Amino acid sequence: MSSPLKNRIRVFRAEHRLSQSDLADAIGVTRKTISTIEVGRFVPSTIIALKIARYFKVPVEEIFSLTTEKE
Amino acid sequence: MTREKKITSYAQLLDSLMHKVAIAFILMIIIRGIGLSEFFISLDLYGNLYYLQIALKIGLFLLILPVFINFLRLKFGGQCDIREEDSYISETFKRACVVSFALSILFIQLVKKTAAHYATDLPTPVYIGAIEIFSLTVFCITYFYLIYRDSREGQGDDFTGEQDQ
Repeated sequence: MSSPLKNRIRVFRAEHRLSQSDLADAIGVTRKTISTIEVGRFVPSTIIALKIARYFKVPVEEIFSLTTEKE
Repeated sequence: MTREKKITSYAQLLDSLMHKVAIAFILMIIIRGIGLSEFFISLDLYGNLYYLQIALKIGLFLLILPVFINFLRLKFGGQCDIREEDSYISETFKRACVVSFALSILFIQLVKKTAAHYATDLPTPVYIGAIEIFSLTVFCITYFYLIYRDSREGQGDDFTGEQDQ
């Protein structure tokens, strides 16, 4: 049931020493939204994905990628 | 900091409003159920349930109104620059709506067949009420099941403290 969309939000948060709440506040969503994106339960809209990427100052592909079949 | 706080409040208010609407649907199921019972139980018993129905309607009003007013204030009061309305809660809400709609259509077909062959003497409000209750029940079960299922995983990982690294 998990989404084929992989993300590295947790890694980026760890690097920036950010909590889910901090990131959620910064991009204008709730902590629940961030936590469900991280575990692949919620596929974010393009806008949210771009906001996250902009926040970490990286291209969106560095945070989100599609899983291949082998994975 | 103030700006971030306002944005958070908007997202949280929107989620809170949707969540409370889902809770309000549970109250609506009970209210409609009591309304329907008028056709099946004695007038004395219905008279007692009527007061419960009134109390639930007041509860419903008090549940939704404060959040709704705050939400409107934030949305149209120009206090929030960024309005991100996409969220996990709104997505779950939409999924529950889709499931409820699909199953309600099937239920309506079932009611049509039943009404035509077996329960021809029941008044129309009974069928409308039954469809409404079915639709809301399916919505609530789906919504709260999805929330419950997803709450079992994805708990917060905070990297803000030194001990986390």
